Amino acid sequence: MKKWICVILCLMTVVLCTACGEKKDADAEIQASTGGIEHPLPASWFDDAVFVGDSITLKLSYYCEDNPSALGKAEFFCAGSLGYNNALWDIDDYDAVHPYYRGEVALSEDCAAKTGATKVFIMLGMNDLGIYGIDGTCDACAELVNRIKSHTPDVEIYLQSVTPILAGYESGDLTNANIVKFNERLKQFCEDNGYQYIDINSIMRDDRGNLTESYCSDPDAMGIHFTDSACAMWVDYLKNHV
Amino acid sequence: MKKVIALLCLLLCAGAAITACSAGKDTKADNSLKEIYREIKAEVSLPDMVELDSADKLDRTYGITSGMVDGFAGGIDSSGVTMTEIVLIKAKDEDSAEQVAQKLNNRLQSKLDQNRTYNPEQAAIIEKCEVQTKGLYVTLIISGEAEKITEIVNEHLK
Repeated sequence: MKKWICVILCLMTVVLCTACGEKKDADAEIQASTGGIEHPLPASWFDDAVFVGDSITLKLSYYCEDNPSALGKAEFFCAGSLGYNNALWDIDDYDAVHPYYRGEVALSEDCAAKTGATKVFIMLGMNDLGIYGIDGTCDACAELVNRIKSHTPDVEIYLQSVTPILAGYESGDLTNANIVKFNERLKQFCEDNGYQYIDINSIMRDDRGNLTESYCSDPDAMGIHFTDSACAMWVDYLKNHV
Repeated sequence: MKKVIALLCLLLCAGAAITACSAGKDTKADNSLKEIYREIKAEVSLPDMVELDSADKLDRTYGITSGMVDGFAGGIDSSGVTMTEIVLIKAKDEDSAEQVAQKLNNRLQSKLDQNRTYNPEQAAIIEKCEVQTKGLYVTLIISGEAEKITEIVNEHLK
């Protein structure tokens, strides 16, 4: 009798160990592609991060959906055409383009409150500079950050530089030269207020200050959006410079 | 008594095997919707799409939880440049179908709002699209080829 019980228990153990359970995605680390940094942050460091941005960050969100080992469980609060200025508009403003999060439109200033994030990464400005100029964009940036902090005082703020435009696609005041000037003001703003400045522009531009051609996914359209390989570089930069 | 214990152990063993092996497998509704989506991709020129392949993605993107659906398939333009989006859902019941339709209508409106002023070309495409409900099946198709895609879907959901 004891022998039979042992045999049956062994069989149960074998079956349970080899049964096809839920697939779990591998959570392999992305190796640093740049030299000199010994320990990049793990993807899990971004589990409590939220990324606020426009269609450029929207692309990053899609990249991360396809690559779960990129930024872990980071949340995304983005909308095409979002800017520092229109992020401040009322939620039901007719021309508003607020982020859509889990089935609802939400204000960017609520990004941390809605997601539970403790780290807020922002990349906006591309949809501001051509309309509001550098001063108008800086003022709106300060106001948005102020609102985020007033809703969720303990969050860490990371401001990412505006990225470059493909050569030939600059328009009006939306030029790579003005982007650089804005980024300098953004950097100063971070230094004055204890926020971290993340210079994504530096890894996306060529030696003339334009978006590197091979990083651009829409050379036939706006000349500002990224390829998957550019997104991989973005992720890599975040893991090595935050 | 010994026979009863042996039988119970065997039943436990078999139950564990069946449960473990069935975990993570797609439902019948999932498979049929995935088949429809595969046909759409084969027949229509679509940009590179982020696949809607997990309940988590469905919830994060649309606020539609796994408790509402029996199966789903689809994708979103991964470049973020066009607003192409295909969402095929079989709801669990009529109430869920109503909730799913509401969530997808919210999504459609949000995309229209985002593009109305800043991307009129895409807004014009979105304006022609709508959420459709057929029984427990709810679909959202945003694409310049929406008509052709809808034909393919309707062919399967007669």
